[in-house]
Amino acid sequence: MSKINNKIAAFIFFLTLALLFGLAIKSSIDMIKETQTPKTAGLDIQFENGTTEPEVKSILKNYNVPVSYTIDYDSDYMLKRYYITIDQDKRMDVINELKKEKNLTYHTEIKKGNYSIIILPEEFIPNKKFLTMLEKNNLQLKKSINCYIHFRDESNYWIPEKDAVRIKNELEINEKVLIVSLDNLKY
Amino acid sequence: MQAHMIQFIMTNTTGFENWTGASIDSKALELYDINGQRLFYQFSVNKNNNPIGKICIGANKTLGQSVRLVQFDPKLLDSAEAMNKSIEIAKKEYPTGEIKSTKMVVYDYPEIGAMTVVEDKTIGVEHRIFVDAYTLDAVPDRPATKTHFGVWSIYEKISKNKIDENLKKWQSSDELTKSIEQAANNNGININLPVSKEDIKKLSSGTAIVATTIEKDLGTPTVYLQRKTYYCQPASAQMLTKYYRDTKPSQDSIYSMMDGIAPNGVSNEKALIYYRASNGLNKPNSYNSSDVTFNKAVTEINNYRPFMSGTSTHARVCRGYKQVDSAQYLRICDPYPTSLGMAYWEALGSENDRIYVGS
Repeated sequence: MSKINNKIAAFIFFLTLALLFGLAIKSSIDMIKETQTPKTAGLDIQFENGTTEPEVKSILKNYNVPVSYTIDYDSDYMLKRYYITIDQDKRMDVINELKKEKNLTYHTEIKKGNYSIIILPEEFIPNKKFLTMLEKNNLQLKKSINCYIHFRDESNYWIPEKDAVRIKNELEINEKVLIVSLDNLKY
Repeated sequence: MQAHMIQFIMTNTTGFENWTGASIDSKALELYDINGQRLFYQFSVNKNNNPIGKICIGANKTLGQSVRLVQFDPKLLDSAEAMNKSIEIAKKEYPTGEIKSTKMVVYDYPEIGAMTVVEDKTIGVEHRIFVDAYTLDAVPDRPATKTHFGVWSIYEKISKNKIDENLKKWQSSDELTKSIEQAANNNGININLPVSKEDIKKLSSGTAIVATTIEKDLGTPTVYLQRKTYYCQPASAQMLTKYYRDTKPSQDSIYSMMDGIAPNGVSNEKALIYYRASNGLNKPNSYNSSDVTFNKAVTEINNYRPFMSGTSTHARVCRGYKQVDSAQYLRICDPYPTSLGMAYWEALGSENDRIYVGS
């Protein structure tokens, strides 16, 4: 009888060990899942020149941001970018002239309805010749307004990347918004 | 394949000093994207029967230039072990599921692992189980119908307007390798055998690429590995602090200054707190940027300013660049432990953002 009891006790002991081991593995996997989930801590939004802080607040209210956030208006987190707004039918002519005048090898183009926005490189410095070319084409050189949106509520300071991507895609349709960049947590 | 390696040797690329006489194992490890498409062929490079590095070649023209990554760490992957482990976890988590496939994948570039797809027949949903090939740790995912968690697809990140440009880059790199093969043929050199210094000399005089190559590798910082799984930003900042200030604060203290909350990673905005602080890197004009062009990297490196080079989920340091014909590469110091502390050459195009170190 005592031998059988010992065997049962040993079996229960090993069963408990196996259970604890299994739980340890599961919590370790959960931990990795938690730490490596793509998370977005903030959005850097480049707005059209002249967009005011109340306008930024009003624009953001229209996009279902799932957590509380604060706005760093006119932030210096990224550099402000020069940009030009041009009609679709004139864009190729202007781009070719830009390349000729300033030997531009890189620019970002955003299409919005019947016009395009050409965003110039960060290091771009306009010279007199360039400004004359713009004047000749009846174009205006403007500088963006940067805003950084910090996500934070009581428990989190991030949102899942998929929600951030949705907000970015929706925001970039707004005519006041130039570019939205995700600021993800990095591991 | 050998022609790819030769182009680096004959253009005196940093890191390839001892690669003369090396040969490439013709049997490649096939690496897939997490979306199931074939992504890279990873070739092992051997010298005197010892592995000395790895070269990844793109499996699809839309990725751009054919050489995607050159690593100098000799550690070989045990793909069978990673695949077995992912099958084991799949069976454990979904005992009634049917295993549909197991492949080696690049799950979070440049990290490699095994992916097992298992179908839970009771609810008809497919699950993906990822296991890192080096650590054999489980890597997160959610049901395939949802957005990836912990893993991301390189193919899905290629924007449509980049495809034409990438096809041109692939075409150009293909022409380059063909010109090397032709030069070898003209000189009676069999490039499928280990190539000697003499052969390299002959090849260098027979092709025009040496003259068109530009390269600058600052040589420092050296790689500091991240001490915790979520410390890539502190480790990258530590490398930059050693370079710019010749001091080496602990990664714990940097993480703390970056307002890190364990076990989460750090965003660029928070990392900048450290970069700008007078008791941190003390570079108040540092800034985050989505300008991840080659020209910008050249400007920074030529001005002796290594910078943080970020993928969408990981921070590293860039300390050099190289252009051979139209193929462009960056020299990356990756703090992730699998780099084994060796800076690698990476084809341009994998970055998402950078932190440039201002004055």
